[in-house]
Amino acid sequence: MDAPLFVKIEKYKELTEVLSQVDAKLKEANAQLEKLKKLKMEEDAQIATWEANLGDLQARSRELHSNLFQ
Amino acid sequence: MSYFVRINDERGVRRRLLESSKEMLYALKGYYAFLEFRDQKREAATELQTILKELSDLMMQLQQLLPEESLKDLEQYLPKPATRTKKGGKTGKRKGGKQKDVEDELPPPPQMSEMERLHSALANIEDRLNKL
Repeated sequence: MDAPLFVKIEKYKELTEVLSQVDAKLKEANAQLEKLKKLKMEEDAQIATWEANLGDLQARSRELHSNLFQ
Repeated sequence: MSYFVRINDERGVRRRLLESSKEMLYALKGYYAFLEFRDQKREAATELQTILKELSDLMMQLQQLLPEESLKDLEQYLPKPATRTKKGGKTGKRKGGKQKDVEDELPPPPQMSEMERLHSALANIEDRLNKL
């Protein structure tokens, strides 16, 4: 088993402050990632809506075709 | 030459045409919504990049504050920009008697892109991790 190692940290307070800043920034980064994920989902939903739109248009076009030319 | 086509369900045809127009307008409206999402996504990605850069600076600060690493130690992991040097301090005389530094004749140093710099720094860290 490794023996415990003690190291001297001269600017301990400063270190803890930087660590809490890192935590805060990580939270910000996570929030931004969530925002990006949400936007991506909205984009995907829009593409699915377009697909449905096109499907409807195709169906109506077929109906019109059969009404006019048969 | 014109043809006359008999339409049995005139109201139905009108309805379908109008509904098709409606669908098309919804699709176009969706296009602008899509562009808006893309703009928002670009903004969010830029914001995320800024946060990550700040995080990177904070991590550097942390490493400086921790005892094993000095600023000099950290700097060695970042690639140094290429510098032009004189070859052994020798300078030749040109025929016209004018001296010209050798460095003037060297091609400009290759510029490292941000991506290359990050790649190199990552390779250094990987190397250090493997040695641990």
